[in-house]
Amino acid sequence: MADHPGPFGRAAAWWVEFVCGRRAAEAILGDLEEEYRARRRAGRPRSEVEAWYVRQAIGALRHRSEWSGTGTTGGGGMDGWTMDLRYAARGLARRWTLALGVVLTLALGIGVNVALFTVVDAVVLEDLPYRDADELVRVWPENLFYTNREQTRWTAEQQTVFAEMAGWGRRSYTFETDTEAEEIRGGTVEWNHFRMLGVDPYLGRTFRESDTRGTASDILIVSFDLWQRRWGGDPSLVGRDVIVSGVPMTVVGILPAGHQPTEEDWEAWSPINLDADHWHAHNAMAFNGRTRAGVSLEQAQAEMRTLFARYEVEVRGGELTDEEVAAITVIPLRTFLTGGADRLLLPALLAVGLVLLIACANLSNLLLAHGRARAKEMAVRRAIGAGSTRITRLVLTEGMLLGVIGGAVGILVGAGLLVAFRGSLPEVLPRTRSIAMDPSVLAFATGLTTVAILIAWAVPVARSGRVGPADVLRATDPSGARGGFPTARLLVVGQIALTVLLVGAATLTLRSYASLLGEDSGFRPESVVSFRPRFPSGTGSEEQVELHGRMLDALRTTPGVVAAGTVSIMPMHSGGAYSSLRRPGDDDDERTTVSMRTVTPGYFEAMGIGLAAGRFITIDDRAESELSMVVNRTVLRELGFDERAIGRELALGGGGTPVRLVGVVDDVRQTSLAEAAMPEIYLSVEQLASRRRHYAVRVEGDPAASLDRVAAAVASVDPAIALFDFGPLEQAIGRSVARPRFFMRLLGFFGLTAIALGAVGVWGVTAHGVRRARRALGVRLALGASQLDVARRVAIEGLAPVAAGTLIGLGAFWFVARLFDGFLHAVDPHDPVTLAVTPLVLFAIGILSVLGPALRSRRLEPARILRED
Amino acid sequence: MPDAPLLGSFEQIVLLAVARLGADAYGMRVRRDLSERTGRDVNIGAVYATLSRMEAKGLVGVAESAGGSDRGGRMRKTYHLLPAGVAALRSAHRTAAAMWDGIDPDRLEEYVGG
Repeated sequence: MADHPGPFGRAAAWWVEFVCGRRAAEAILGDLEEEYRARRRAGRPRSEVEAWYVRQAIGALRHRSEWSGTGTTGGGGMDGWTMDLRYAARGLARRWTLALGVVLTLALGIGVNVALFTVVDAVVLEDLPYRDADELVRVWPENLFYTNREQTRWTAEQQTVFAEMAGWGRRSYTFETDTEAEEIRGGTVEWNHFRMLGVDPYLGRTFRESDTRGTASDILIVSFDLWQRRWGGDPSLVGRDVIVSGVPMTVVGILPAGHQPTEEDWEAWSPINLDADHWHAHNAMAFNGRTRAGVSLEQAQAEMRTLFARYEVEVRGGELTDEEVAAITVIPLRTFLTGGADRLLLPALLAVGLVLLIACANLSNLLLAHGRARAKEMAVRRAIGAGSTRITRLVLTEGMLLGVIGGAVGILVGAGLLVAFRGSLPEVLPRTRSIAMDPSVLAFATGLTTVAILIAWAVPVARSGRVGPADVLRATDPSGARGGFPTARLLVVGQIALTVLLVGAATLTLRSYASLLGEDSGFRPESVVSFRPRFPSGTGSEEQVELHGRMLDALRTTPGVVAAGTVSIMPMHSGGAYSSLRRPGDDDDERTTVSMRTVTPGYFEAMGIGLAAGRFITIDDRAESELSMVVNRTVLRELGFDERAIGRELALGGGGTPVRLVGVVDDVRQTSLAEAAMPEIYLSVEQLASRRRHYAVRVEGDPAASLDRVAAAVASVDPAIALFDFGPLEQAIGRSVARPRFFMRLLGFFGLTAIALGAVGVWGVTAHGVRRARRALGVRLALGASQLDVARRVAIEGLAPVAAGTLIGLGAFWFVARLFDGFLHAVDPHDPVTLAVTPLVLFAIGILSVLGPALRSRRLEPARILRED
Repeated sequence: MPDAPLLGSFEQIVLLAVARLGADAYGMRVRRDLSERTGRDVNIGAVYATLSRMEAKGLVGVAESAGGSDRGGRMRKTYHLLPAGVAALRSAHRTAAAMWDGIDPDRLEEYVGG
């Protein structure tokens, strides 16, 4: 009869084997199984025998140290380390609450570090997927106004610093089918763009010199992701025509997965057509170059400045100001693509490093407290001949084992955090679209865990070497051991100091974010719906103007719509057009560079932009009437005018076109809430045509509730008109503060983690202190001290390291805060509110943490305590 | 007489069981013998702990043999008395006998004092 123990019995047997080792438990488990069968054969019921088996097996563990310990023949062939490892595993399985605490603390500390390192690795450290990427640079004339197709070619012929250079401009591609349209950002590039980068296509080909003339340039290269997303990875796409903004273009190539575009969001490329009178012929171009061997950035930049200045003189017949020359920069492509992210990530890395240090301090404390509890075991080991190396090794092995488990869980935590942040990462950091953990991250995690273990275990190991029988006696020191474990207190002091740094940083970023949100944007976006219309392909310019007019009429007569108008570029959206302004008669040096927008009547009203003087653009500003202009307050200030200047004539642009100043409006923050307004002029779209038009529609109440009505009004004009960027304008503003918001949340998360760890640390040390000093406290109570006195004494002793740590932390914060200078908006790094709030937070946490132990100390019963020993 | 190690009372009865069981003295057998004779339900772990301790003191020797299917293939440890064990038992017996001398176990109540 094959009768053997059931699931409970087997589980018990497994547990015994796990705790004691298979070899040591073998004889006992064999005996138990034999007896099990014997009892079953004797006709005893299965449940009864199983219960007996479990009782015996688990009961045997109580005597484990004797029958499975050293001195038997157990261990057969295992070397010392394996033995230690087993011993450690069993020990930890028995003390699983401690092990769990250690693993979770470690996993949290390592997890946040692993997640952040993965980001840093992807953004800053990972090589760009180009041939000899370090030679690639970006030539960036700050005013795009001054570069064009011809200048790029001229520069290419004159220059001596680049082995190759290739111009580029931005272009958006609207892919259309009969039923839908999708707008994709991309570039139009000189044919040698990909050759210069050293990028080979995944399928098809890249551009050739013959692609630059006539209709030969109606070809397209798309990114791997776009190919997968839009065409499902269909390889027959190569060679096929697709309709882009109404024009058929042939897809000639697909880039490899993981290709890094030279502009973050590009997904499609076409070659620059040298024949077409495209706007890139006149402006909006820049170029990238590959430096010749031995040419420094400074040399390249100097030559580019010279050439730009020469071009202005020799070809355009003008002259660049010193300021304009200085704005021409040559920067490594890598620096551009990481977009200052390294500066954003440095404080974040510092913060997670601190979190890990705090976690380590907690671990040290846990292990110290635990080590004290084990002092007896250690002393006995020493007494029976275990050397201090042996004991150190045991402690270390336990640490290693916990480290491996903690590290592994930490990697999982890190992966989880990445998944949680994946959505918001690309908004704030470049190169994070396809972020993933790779072997270098695992290597980092391993290294970090090792460091963490060494830090966390250093103190307990150092102490364990000193534990002797005398220490064990002192563990029940009748004197009460006031201040009896300074190491633990010192750790708490350090931990609190680190927590102050994190809480301080989190408070600073929170204050900065709040002040950013409190910044007056100059317009009232609350009830505004915005969108860009796209007309059916083949719609001519004049027809478009007429459609815009009808759409505005339809919107203005829609119930619930307060005002409607259009602008060439909506605030908080990218793009810009620039010109210059001067008083008539002033020479060229006096001109002020201004940002230029074209608007329709109703735009200012719809956006809620305030009128300071004069009037808005109205329907009277027609194509045939005098050129009128509304300026913002900054223009007025820069030209040295006041409101009496209304009605004056000024000169616009290089040609000095006369323009009448008819109104002054409030400054509007156009690019982001963080950036102050620049000089800005508004012209009527009737007088300066613009194909690009954003709609602003002010509605009553919640804009989200009005979306349907707005869409219906547009559809009533022509159902074929598609709407892009359609939604409440506030969303666009939300995007513009994505980076500070992300930063604030990140530091807030780290700050909370630090607070939690710090609180556990303070609580642990205070509670342990009460346990250790209970005899002394008991004596006090017996001698007539009131319960309140005792509780107060415990609380004060618990809070002392908090106070010390807070002071030290604030001192350190004073110095570290300067690191945040570049990320703060209108908040001083030594912000008094932060300096006041941070210690308050820490003290509140400290008081909460010592409350439990202090209250419990009141319930000590002197009579019982004094009887205990 | 050289000093024979002193036996604890549980050690003594385990050692006696080993002596009685001879070649059959393995943990579970010892436990059963003990239970049957003393009526005490002893945990197998306690038996092995005692056997291990006595092995370390050199009172008993141990031999391992391969286990049959009855034991799930697990090896069996069989214990046997060593000369020191014999001496210890003899000494324990002599000590007990010497101390019992003059005391009638059936009339122990008479010794209860007030």
